[in-house]
Amino acid sequence: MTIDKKTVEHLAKLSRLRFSDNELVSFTKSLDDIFQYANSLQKVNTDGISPSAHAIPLQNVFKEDEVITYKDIDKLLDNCADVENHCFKVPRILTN
Amino acid sequence: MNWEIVIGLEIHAQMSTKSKLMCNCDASFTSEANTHICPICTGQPGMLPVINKQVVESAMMIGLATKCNIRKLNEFARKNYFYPDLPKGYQISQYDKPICENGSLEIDVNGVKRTIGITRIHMEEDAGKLVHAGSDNIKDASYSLADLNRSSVPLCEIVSEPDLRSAEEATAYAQKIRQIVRYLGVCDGNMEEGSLRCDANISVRPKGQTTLGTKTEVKNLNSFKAIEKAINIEVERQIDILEEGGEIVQETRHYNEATNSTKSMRSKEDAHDYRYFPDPDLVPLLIDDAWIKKVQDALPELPEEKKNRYMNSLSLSEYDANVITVEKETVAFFEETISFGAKPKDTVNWIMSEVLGTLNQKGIELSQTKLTPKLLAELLILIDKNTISGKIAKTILPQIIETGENAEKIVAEKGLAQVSDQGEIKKIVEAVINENAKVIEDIKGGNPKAMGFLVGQIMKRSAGKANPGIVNELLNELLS
Amino acid sequence: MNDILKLTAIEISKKYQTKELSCSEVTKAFLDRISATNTELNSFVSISEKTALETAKIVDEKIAKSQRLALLEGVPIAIKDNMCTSGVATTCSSKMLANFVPSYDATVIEKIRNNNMPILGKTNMDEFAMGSSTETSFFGSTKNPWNTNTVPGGSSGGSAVAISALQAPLALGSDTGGSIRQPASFCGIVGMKPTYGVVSRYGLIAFASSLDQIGPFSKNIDDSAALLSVISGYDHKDSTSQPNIDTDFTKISSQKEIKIGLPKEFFANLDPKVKELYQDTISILSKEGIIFEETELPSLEQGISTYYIVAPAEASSNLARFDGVRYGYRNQEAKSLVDMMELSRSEGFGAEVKRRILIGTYVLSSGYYDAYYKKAQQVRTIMKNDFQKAFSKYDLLLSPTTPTPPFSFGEKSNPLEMYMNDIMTIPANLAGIPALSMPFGKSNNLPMGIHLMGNLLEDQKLFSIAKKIEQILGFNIQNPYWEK
Repeated sequence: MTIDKKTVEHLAKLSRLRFSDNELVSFTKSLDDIFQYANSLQKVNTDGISPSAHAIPLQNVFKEDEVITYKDIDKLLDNCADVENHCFKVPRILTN
Repeated sequence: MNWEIVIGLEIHAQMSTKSKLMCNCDASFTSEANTHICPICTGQPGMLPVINKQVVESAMMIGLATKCNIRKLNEFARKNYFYPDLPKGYQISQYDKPICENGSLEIDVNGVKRTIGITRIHMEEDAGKLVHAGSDNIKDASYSLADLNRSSVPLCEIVSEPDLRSAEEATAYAQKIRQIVRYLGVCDGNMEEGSLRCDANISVRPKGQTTLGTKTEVKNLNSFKAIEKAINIEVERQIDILEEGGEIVQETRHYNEATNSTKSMRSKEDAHDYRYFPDPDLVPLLIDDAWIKKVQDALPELPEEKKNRYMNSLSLSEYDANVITVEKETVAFFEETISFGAKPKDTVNWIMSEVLGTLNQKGIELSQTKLTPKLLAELLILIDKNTISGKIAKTILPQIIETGENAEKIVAEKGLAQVSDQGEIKKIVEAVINENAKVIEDIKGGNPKAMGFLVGQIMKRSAGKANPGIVNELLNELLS
Repeated sequence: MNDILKLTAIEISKKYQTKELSCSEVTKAFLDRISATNTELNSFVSISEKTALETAKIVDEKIAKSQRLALLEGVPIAIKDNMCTSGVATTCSSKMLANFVPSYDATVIEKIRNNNMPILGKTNMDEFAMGSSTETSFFGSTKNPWNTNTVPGGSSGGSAVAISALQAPLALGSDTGGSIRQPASFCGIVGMKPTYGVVSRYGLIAFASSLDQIGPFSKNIDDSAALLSVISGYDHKDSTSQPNIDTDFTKISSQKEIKIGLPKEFFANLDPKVKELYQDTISILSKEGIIFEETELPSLEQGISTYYIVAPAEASSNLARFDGVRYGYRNQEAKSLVDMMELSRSEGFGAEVKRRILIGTYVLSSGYYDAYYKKAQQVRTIMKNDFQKAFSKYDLLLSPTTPTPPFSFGEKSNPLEMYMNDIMTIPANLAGIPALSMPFGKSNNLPMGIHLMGNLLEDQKLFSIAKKIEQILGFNIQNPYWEK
């Protein structure tokens, strides 16, 4: 289970990142090192062990169904690089 | 070749809660962009979700109404992908542990009843809305605008087994789901506004084959008509391909209602891998038997139960019981009307033909008229007591709908009360007999239609007010 | 140098009550110290002089009217720049958020404000809290006051330096795998990570949600216990918040016999100097009646592997929201949506953040989920069980905070080597247990911290025993920089 350049290219696409060739080489190397190390996990017998998604088990945390209006919407929009008609503007989604 | 059609539906029902699934923003529809938003549903840094309890109960209600098992230990997962209408870069949904599983419901197409399996029902949050500028078409748009009002509005996705065998069955199933969620009051079922959205998984196979053919997923089915038309056109497309020796490509297709065609939505940009994992910001949901019982006990009577009750204890025909239970508003109106003493059978007839007919002409809904169940009951009771004839009743109904005045008042003001005075009616009957000697001969010659003509003449002369029973009695007496 | 700066937070509080000091005087002293030293140390990314002095004025009015002040009311504080402050830029030391101004306060900030504690400024950190040296900050690295060629540790390096360089009497940090405890160790001060869920994460810009926890930095144990009492408590806005906790951590419980376990798994990796110091310390403490016993927690050997799967997995998803659409850095030249997102993220994030996103994306992707992510979560369960067993026998577990003394800038250029620095601190985050680092000795005139781990929700007991150890060791936290 070693990491190659093609894998890193695929991961970059999935995570919306873009790399130069040099970066690609360097990330491939460091990821490969890291997973060589992390493969020690495969030695651990985990048969019948349930995974822990949380540090401490809690259950059934809810909010009640009530409307609370947020008053600083304009401040939220102030952080957007490009606003038009009170909307978040983005460049064309499909290109030809 | 003889082909069998195999369809499964995925229905997204928007839960009609007051607030959103993960924050306290107003969940209702508004056309003013970005007015129902807050730091949480716009995915601002550091913000955390908290589950709306009502959504969990709404999902349980749908599950119980469709005979599903309710999962005890539930989990929310993140579905990761990038899109400008998805503020967090992931959608909070349920993955391998949906709240409801293994249910079913019964559909009826032209009297043929079939049970359709429900694979799963799960909760998830909706995405925002994109408006494509410069064109209605995403392809030609020069840029797009994101409105996040809908972001994190609660949805339940209801997934059927591939048990449906025709476009008609699929439509009947979708209608049934809509009827159930509306009865439960958990979704308004408005397909135009997108409160109920439907995707269809469609494949065909030679009759007798047990393995499934390659399916396509058809999206954008925004009405029952669209479901039916889209399935038919897609089935036709698939059969054409297969009969020409081609192969079906497993893909998502978009239905265009204007051209009545489906089109591939494939995009080479997409590398699909949603990387689902349990959302660490949310804790598991544990549903115990006591909670299930509480929700079960609070379930309203469902269409199927109502239908059976009407047939058994109100002696309605299956047809009448069916038509009156289709819409939640109609059935509520019906139940209230009979609670004021109107007869069930008459009430069904009047609501389905006269009331809804008049409203249809005016293009308004039952909820928008001044006609109340009490007013309708009063009108029907006047017919029943022979105070007015059915015909007179029909003429005054539009006035009640318009003004909300009660029938008795209108009848009194216009002098429409039925005449049951023997002497008065006898005068009219005698006069009509005298003027129609030829018709009398026909009657005596054994033509029953002629009798009807005479009655009509008498009613006309009495301005419709003569008691038809007494008219018939007197005619028989005088002609014998 | 102003003597006010050397006071502990509790000493400052006392001098308010006796009217020996005013809050404005104290706040001004620390602000002056920051402006005199920050150019060199680079521990603050922003300073909020005006609002700090406004808050001080409110406290002084209360003092003038002889009104009773709440615990730590009026004591100035520095905040790590990943906690959202309404109206004040919150950057995570990233180009991505360099201009981001939240319209909301984190729950901890709300508590600090309600307690009229003047916020002196926001402190430097590793970008998005990913790092162990504060070298990955977009705003440049922070210097260790003990030796400015040495890293202060990280990711909360700015907050640790603020305490050790006398720029603030109290500071908040966040700890995902040691980001409070390791810089506390490198800077010779106290830093504590509470039990997961004791402090609300609402408004803390997430790195790894199931591991992140906010905690205090201070000169001594009492101050940290007091600060935790102020910032802790159930928060309905955080689903993972612990309900029904006693938030008074200043109560000192005394117990006759203290039994501490020494996890064997940590000894193998120790630098010889650290090992010597550590063994000396244990013998000193043994003489004072604390019972030590070697013990085994086999899963601890998998700590790094487990952590470097779980934390990046969550991070890859948590950092997906930084797409340039609604806030944060956006490449303005991009002609299409995909270009805009890819260029904004590639230009807005530094290399370490990108590396963690790649790792996380890999371990969650189809085909690798079971082998990595699920496996790591299973090992996490085993580790939690190992800890439960250990705490049925011991009050605490003890080790050095880091396997090596503080290192120099650029010394650990290999990522994996850098990750190894977290070997002692990571398990507490995976298991959710409370842990702290306190100074216990020096190596080459650089401080070293000792690491104490307690059982779930026994934060108060952890403080109590730590206080006893502090008294025995009597470590002098003064560093050469105090004279500058």
